[in-house]
Amino acid sequence: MSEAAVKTKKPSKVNARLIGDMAPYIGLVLVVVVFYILTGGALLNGTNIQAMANNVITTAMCTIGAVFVFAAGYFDMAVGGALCFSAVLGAMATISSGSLFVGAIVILAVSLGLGCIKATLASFVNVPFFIFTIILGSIFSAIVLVIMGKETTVLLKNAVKPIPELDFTQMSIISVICLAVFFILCLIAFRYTPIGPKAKNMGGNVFAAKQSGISKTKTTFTVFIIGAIGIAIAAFLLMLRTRTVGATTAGSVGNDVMVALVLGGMPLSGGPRSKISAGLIGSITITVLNSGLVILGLNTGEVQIIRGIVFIVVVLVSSLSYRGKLLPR
Amino acid sequence: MKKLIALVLAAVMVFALAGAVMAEEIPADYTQVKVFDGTYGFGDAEITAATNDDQSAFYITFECFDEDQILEGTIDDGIVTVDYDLTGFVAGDAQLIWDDAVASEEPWTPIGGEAPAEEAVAEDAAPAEDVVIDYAFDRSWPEEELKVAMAVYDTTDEQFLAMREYNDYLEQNFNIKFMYSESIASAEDEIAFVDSAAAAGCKAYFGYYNIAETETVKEAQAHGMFYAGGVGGVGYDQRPELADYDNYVGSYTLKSDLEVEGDHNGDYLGGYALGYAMAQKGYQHIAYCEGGASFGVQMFVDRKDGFIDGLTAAGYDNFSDADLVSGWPGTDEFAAQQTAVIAGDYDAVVSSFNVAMWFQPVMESGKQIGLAAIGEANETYKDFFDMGVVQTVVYDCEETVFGVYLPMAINAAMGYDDMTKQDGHPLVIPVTRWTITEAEQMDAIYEYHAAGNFFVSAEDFAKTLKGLNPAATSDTYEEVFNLTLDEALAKIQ
Repeated sequence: MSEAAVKTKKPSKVNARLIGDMAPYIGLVLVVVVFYILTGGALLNGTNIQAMANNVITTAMCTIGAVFVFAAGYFDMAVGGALCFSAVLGAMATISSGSLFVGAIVILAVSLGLGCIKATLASFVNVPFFIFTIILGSIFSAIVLVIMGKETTVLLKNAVKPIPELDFTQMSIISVICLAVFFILCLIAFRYTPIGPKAKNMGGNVFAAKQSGISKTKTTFTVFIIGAIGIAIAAFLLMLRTRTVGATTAGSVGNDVMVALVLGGMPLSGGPRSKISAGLIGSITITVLNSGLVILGLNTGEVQIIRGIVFIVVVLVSSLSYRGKLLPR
Repeated sequence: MKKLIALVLAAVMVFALAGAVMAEEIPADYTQVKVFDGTYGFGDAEITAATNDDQSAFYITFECFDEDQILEGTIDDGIVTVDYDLTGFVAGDAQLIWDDAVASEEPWTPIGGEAPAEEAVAEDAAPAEDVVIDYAFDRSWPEEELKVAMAVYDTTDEQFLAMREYNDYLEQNFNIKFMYSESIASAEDEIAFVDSAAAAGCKAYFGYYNIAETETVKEAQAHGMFYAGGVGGVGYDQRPELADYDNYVGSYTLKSDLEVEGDHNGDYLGGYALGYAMAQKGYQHIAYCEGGASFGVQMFVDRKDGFIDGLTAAGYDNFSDADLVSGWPGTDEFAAQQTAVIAGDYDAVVSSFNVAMWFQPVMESGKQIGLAAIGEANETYKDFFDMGVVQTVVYDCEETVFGVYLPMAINAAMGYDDMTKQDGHPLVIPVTRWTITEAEQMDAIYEYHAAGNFFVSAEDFAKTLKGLNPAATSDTYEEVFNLTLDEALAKIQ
């Protein structure tokens, strides 16, 4: 084969891959533009932008942290359960101590503890990980119900000392700052440190990764700890914003994380095509979509149909960038 | 003697002159005044409070510490700012005094005139049933579209869908638009919906469902929305702290069409009505599905307590814990208990929630087992009532029970403060839940609704809107919405 033929790729394949890579960004822009028009501008008014900033934070924090976990090939379905567990215990600690700082420490400790449990199971037990996470999610929810007893909600207003309250705008500012800082740190970690490549290699092929000298145990613990930090920050901000947590807290976060990753253009199986931007783009897309649908005032059926269409279109276009032929695993 | 009389007359003249001077000293900017008595940190005093037309400024005079006191300042959204304090000692009481001035039953009197015409009209207001509304019901009122947000637990729930039909009917007659949440599963979903509703321009919030408790009220208030609805399922009557939220309008309190001694909440009354009605019908061995009572869920605990008391009041003494069916449908435990009830000698089953899961087992058993529940006036219940399977349904008619929230929220958003308070506190409007014990009653209700009619028509609804009925007061809500089953059926016969 001539050098020219080796070096030249077919233009259609290049275009398809480019479109596939750009699909999440195109999808986000399209969602914003379409709903901006349909809502008569209400989507991007000052109040709604702040509202979306407050709403995106939980999903975005969890999803950005989950990029590391999913990149390493671990299908974690216990994100929502872990967030709920951390938030409830943190809120109880806050009420008992009257201190947000104590609550934050408890949330971080619990979240890291749960992350280590998941990492241990993933590293040392030879059972498909997603099965563990399905069970773990149920266990976390059940423990929360037992801990809460007859109470259905934990209210920060019942704290022994008044807990500072943040108004709507203050919460938006804090949410944006936390999101920006966490995303930048994760971006650096994923792209410019060995953590990202190791996780992607493990997600691509764990045997090849091991033979390349990547420690499965170390990498597994690292990705779950990063994921747990994202969950902890999300739990703390959620507690701060709503000042109410209960057994149903973060009930939909698990699904939202997976949808966000896919809308962000990352395959749920992880591997080399994992991208840290998927966490941010996907979360923002979901939040904008949900906000626009609520403002439009459509009924439940119409909302589900539109969500489904958007999801399918973005996934189909993203799949243009997937390689058709892969080595067997 | 003459000197004494002269002294007395002089003293009277001085006091009268002082009063006149004080009255005359009310600056010309203030257009209305009221006089009332109050007790504050400085003791008892007769307060003269003056304000302008839009109540954005105040001028208060009274006497304490043997000195005349004058306070003057501005009012913004009910919060006073004192700009002038004659003696410098009483500014701290200004907010309390102003709040009492607003809450006082004394009317505002135009300075130099008689009581305002609208106040006079309110005092002589005709009963709601006699009021004729001059409005074409062509969506021309209000002039600017008013958006109302409504929080929903389950968008597929039959009660919500029936409520939505009533809302759609109101949208056809008034220039209002409802914005519904998706199914709210958590506090963060609810707070997010409040934010979205504010961004969409909603001025009123209907708390059809509430999980984040007072945080939702606070969030709505922060966005300038008025909140009408229960908080954690109850209103001001059970949560006095709700009076601290200026934008909290009020809620209903459920009453029963049965006479029940004592003061009980709606859940207790619902359970009581079920127990009483089924015992009255002569059932000898009744099983009771207690729902979440065994888990300590207060709503179900109250319903169970009411049910047992209702049985007792009707003379039924055959109930014991062995007759309880615990837990929820869809579990093996519930299925086993259901099988045991069907196989046993029970002649009735009462459920503290929906009873639909009993229809098929009862029909298949071939036994005459009467069913009762807190349920709906829908086609399924109607059909089973006609077949004699369902014997009693405690029904919250959507427009008469939940519908009362809507004019509360609309009046508040339109700025009619006198329609949002009762004795200076949030509204608590009694409404009646119906105990349907006859198939004919269920048929009448179902067919009336199926034909697109509502027990609170647009004309009735308009009577509670101050903008269309200047004579409306906070009592009008109860006059229009608090219908017993007999009164409702009489309307349609």
